[in-house]
Amino acid sequence: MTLLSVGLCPALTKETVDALNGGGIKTVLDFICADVEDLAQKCSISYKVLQSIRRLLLAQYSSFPVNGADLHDDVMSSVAILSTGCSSLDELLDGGLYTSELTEITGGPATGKTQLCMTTAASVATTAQQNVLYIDTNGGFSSQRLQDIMAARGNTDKIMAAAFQRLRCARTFDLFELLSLLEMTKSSMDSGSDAFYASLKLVVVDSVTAVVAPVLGGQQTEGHGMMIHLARSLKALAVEYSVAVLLTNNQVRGDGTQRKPALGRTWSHVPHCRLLLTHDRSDDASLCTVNRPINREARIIKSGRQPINVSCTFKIDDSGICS
Amino acid sequence: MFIHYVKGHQVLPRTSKHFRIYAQSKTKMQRDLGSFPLPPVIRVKLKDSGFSVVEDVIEMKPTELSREIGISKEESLEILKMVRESTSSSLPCQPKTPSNSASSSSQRQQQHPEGNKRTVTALEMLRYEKSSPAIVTFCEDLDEMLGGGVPLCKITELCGAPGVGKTQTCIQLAVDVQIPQCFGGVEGETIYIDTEGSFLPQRAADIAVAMVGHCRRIADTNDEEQQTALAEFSMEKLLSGIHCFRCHDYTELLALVNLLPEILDKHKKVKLIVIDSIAFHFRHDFDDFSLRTRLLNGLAQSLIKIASDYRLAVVLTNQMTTHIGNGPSHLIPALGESWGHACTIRIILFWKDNQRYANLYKSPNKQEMTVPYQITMDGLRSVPRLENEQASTSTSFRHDEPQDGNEDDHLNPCKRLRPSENQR
Repeated sequence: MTLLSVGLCPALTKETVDALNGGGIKTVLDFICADVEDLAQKCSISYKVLQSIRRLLLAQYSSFPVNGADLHDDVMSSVAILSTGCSSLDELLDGGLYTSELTEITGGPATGKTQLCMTTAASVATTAQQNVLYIDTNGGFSSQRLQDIMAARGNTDKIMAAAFQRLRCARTFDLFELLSLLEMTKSSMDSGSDAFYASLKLVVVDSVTAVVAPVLGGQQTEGHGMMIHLARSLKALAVEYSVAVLLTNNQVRGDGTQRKPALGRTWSHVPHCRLLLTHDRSDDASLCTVNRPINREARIIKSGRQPINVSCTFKIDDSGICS
Repeated sequence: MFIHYVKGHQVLPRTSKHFRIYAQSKTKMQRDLGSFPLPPVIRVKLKDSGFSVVEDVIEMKPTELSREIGISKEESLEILKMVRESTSSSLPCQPKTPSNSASSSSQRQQQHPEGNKRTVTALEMLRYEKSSPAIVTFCEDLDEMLGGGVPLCKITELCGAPGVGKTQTCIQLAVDVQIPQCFGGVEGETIYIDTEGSFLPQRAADIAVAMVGHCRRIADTNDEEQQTALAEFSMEKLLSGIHCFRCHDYTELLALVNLLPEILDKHKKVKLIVIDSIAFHFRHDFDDFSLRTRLLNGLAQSLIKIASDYRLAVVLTNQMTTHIGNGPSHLIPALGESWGHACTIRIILFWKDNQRYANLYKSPNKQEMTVPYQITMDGLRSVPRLENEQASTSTSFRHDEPQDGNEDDHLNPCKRLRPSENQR
């Protein structure tokens, strides 16, 4: 919604802008949506002038066509697939995390969401040698664990030291902080002054729910808008900067016993790909038999490429998530 | 095939070279005003008047803006200040960094890594994490399970049925956090938020006396630092290091949590916040469950922020509730599924075969594990393992003094040790 201002196009003189503003037309959107004849009468500007302004603005603000073949070439040259560090999960995701896409991991408490984030971050920083930004919103990040994962995967000290430089962490505990951090990331990637941001390939946000849930629910409608804001910001980051974005979302039990991903139906349209993690462990600790291995399963519940509802098993050990 | 790309209302040529040029000058200016922490009323007014991105307002004077959208000059000045701050530096204003307690030299050197930068490398994080001491629990197995004790900068939740030892563990931690640094402790203080009225100073005194005794026993007579520390180390000092707050309803609790930063600025030594229990007030008086979820989620975020900013540990206790599913009913932690995500570390305490057990249900850096523990007159202790007697002498806080006479009573878990029963 750009404001109408002098110089936007030659016919928009100060008098015209003032006249339009007087008629309640303040932005380009208002202008385009209004009927030209009405406008001519209301603001007493000549019909011809208005038509020419309209044509210019439409030309200026309409979207730009791209040839499908060019787009394909563009995609082929810019998309990277980042391995999650677990072969069966990679297979499930058709190779791993795609840049320009949002991949969401959802699951109940202690199903391995944070572990998957850390394993992926470790794998991308060591094996793929790409830069990773890890945004921790719920205090789950542990660099000690990251080190353990890297060490258990047989990386040498030298590789690990380099990987730890390629990984940056940020802690934000509320939505506005997260939004401004994302804005800052975008502008740092544009300016290119920081070498880290120039070759950033993966952004992890663990978890989205932690920052969105406090403003959602109750009688509040404002929070919903903020959630959409975050969604747009994340998508813009992924698509415009060719970055893979890995999100985690909680799984909650609604009114019934049916479990579903948090943040509701609106959010379900946001990620390009959704992975559901489950385990077969009882909620009741006293029923656990000591040292029984936990069966964990990952299921793909949304994807643009792969058949959905395909699942694989994985386990969590010293080396993070593995098949 | 033609595909249209639209960003806002701006045409974006898709070739990356064009795009970069466009973006370089524009990104900061194109930031949506909705992403700033503005009051909803003002956000609506801005939107109605056609102001949607930073570029639209950045050049304006406060008087112009206030006239344009009908708000006071002070308000528009504030908006402009916020917007300009975000564009002038790529590092937006950082929430205040707490100055670490003056008494602890090692902490002074180790400034919070996020003090000057928004993001830190994982290497700095690793150094920071490694320099963070943990609060020992006095139960060796539990310490091992948690990787050295209750960690700072994290939220640890203890769940369990009544009488399993949640409050006892909290009181134990409230005392343990005060162990002097020369003994490998954290040397902090505690804020104890009591919602159930279950904090018993008497019990805290028992545990404190036992702890002082333990320190005296293990102190090295040649170590001057330890001797000076011991000289002023007493039960009275320990109890005065526990700041108790009693909250009678959830409003009081929420208000207190909001005031915590102020309190912590005054009491810089606080290294542990205990809320015993988080569930009590939230389990009744609530018809609107979505409101409850929202409040609880907000509370969790405030607490993790405090834990991270002030570098302290937060320990919560939670009650258990009966879950009736398809199979037989069983006990699960209260406050619902969404709360399960709130804490970083979740420990479930339970009875099995007349023995207390702690199960590490959720942790970012440790495997799931179940260990036995017991609660004695002196507080939380390991269950003696005869075969492992020599195995673990590494921790300085091994509870290896001989069991005294009335200890036998407490070894029998059938006779639960309640605070009232244990006057020596």
